[in-house]
Amino acid sequence: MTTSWSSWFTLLALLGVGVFGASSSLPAQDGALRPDGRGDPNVEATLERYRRDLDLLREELRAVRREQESQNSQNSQNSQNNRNQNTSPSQGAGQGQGAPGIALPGSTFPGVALPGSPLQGNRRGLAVGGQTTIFDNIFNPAISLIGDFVVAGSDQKDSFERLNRFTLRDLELGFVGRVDPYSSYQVYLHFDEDIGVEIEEAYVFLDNALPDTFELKAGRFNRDFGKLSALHDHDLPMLDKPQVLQEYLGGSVRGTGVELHHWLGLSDTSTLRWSLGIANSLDSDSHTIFGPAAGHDHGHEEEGVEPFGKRRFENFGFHGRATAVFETGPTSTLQVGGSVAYAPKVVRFFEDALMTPFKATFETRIAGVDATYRDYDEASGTGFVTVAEALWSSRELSDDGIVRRDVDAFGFYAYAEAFVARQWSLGASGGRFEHAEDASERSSDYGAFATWRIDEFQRLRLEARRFEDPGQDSFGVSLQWTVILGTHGHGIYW
Amino acid sequence: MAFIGKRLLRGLAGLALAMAALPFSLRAQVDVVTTTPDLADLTRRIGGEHVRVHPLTTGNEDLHLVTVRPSFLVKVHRADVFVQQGLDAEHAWVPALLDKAKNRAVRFGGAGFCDASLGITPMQVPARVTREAGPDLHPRGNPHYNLDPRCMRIAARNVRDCLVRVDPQHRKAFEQGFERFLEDVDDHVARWRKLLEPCRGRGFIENHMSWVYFADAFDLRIVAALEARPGLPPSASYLAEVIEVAKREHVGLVVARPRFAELAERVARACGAEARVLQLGSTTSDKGWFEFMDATVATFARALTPEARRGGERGVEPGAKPGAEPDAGRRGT
Repeated sequence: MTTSWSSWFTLLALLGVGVFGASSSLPAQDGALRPDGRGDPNVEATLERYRRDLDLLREELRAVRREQESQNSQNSQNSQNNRNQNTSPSQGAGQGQGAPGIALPGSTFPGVALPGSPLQGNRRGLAVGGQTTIFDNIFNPAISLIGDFVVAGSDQKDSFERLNRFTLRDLELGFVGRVDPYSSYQVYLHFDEDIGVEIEEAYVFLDNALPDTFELKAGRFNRDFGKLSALHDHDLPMLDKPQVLQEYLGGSVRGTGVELHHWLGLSDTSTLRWSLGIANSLDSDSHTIFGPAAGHDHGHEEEGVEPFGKRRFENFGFHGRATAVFETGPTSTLQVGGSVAYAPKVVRFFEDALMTPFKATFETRIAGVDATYRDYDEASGTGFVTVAEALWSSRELSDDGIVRRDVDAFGFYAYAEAFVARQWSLGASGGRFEHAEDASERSSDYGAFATWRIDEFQRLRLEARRFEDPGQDSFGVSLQWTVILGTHGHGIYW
Repeated sequence: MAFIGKRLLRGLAGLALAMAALPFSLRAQVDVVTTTPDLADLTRRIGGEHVRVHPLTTGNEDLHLVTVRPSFLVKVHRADVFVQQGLDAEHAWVPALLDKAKNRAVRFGGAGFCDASLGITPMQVPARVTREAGPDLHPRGNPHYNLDPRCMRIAARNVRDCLVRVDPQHRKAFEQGFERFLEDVDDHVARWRKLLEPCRGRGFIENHMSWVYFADAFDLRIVAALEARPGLPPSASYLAEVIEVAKREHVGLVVARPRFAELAERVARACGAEARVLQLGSTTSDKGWFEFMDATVATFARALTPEARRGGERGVEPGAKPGAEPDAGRRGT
């Protein structure tokens, strides 16, 4: 609604009417009017409206009383049921009642605690002293726990420590909460059996302070690059990130810095989102189960920079992404995107013939394009999604610091997943890539996976995958069990 | 070129002045985005010509599991008013949508944010908020109050108040629309009660905890749910128990959403009841909430009246929509 111009104009017009009309028109002298306004049609209409509202409030009050009477009887019945430990369907799902195990509470108003209700509880501090104390939990962040448990078998050699065993791949502890009206703070810690604790992400999210649709992230987090690299491993549609992402990006592109986001509507049914980021370095993070890149790996590319002089602009890493989503039908969307990343000049140290140390810097550039087509009928819970992403990697390398070589490599992956029922999906994926440090070597993999979403908080996935690698071909089968406790993401996936 | 530029600039300035000179009421419509077609219909009835209403969903989806599409973002970004069903019905997508749409006018706390559930006494509020009771547990109570005309009166009041807040110039029109809506509800409720009078106290089975407001409004009885726990598919032993209870209670109707049609049919066949596929609100292809309720009441009346139970047909019509019910509209009016 465009109101700025018209509102001012209307206001001015009204003022004009008021000023010029005041001298010529006197208030209506209606003898039927009473001092309290009764008889005035406007006043009567207002009173009638208030009567109507009052009627509705009375109706609500009657409903509350009915509800509370019903609760009283229900609570006593539930107590009886709990004593009897009887959960037959006829007892739990009657009129005005819940399913087995569900009963009505002491308070029927959301957020309002009646004395003795579960909402009021026995909190010390606010309830006792009239002040919030450090022992109160209000304002504390929401907490989540995600567990990713994998059992994997493979014919890969030299894999005693990693395969043919049970693995707690990920235990993610998340804390999220509002800092103030302008920003939130989100922290995700990763625990696993091998390395212990790692800060997966910790960032301030300025999501309600900037103009238009701008947002800003500051801290350490997975960088916005491509379709799958920013996802946490337990959110992937398959067990591991595609091999090409492991090879060129190290799994996730992670860094400490800032990232600016913005979106705009291209039309009534399409949007364009873009982001730009800068970080100290573009690190990697990988918790891969299968294949040649398996293992927990972190690439901290900026090691060695700090002791030698001040940080220069060229030592920062940069990245950007633009992606557009189009509605192509009542249930389908097409997304296309492009990403670029420039890894900062890596400083490496060598010795010349006289054993004198010297340093050399190297750069990495990565570009990618991706496309996603999704057709999902939410009425039936069936549909499919297909995703393809291609990446180009360009690296400067050297074994001795004197003779340099540039390696340009190309790789891609694709997957398709069919949601055959509300809880079940079947998928297949594959990829092929030239090695980032020797483009003459190539690897590929292909596999199939079946996912059973037991409910929103628990999922089982069976996957079989074959790897073809210059080092060794291998085949593996895995069973992944993922559980979620507490708050969890319901974001917009674009 | 410079001359053309100046003329163009003057032309645009003149157009802007002319637009400003137009009376506000002639060109301003309140852009309203609603999460459901029911709320869209309600808003249209109250706002009349002064509102332009865009429902985000079609009514065929599971309201708890909607994927945000690009058009949602664009619509909410431009909206003056956002109306939601509330009570966590849209918790999986509305918070993220409002957050990303970056329209402060319609975010929680803004003048254009309307929670239609405000003031409604929720039913089936869990005493213990634990996932043990089911993954689809609603901590604030059952959100399907749109099946109860009494609750829709309260929702209408919330919508009216929000429209008045955003566009006070048309207060009178909104109040008149609201009054008309209440009168329509009264008329329809009298007819619906009359139609369902013979069914008072009769039991039916639902697939998910959805129909409690409807049952309460028309004195019907929910005997069991096909889900053992909200959001959990039933086991074979649980279904056997449901069928046994249904036989004992002489259940005449099993209602289910489209994706549970097969299950409802199986249970209905086993207990000699009628299975009906019903949505939990109107769809964008329906005429509106009253027509949806007409058809729904007619469906219940047809399946649960004693005459129908004795000699009525026992056809199972998976995929049949409420509007497709024979004589549905006539029976309801």
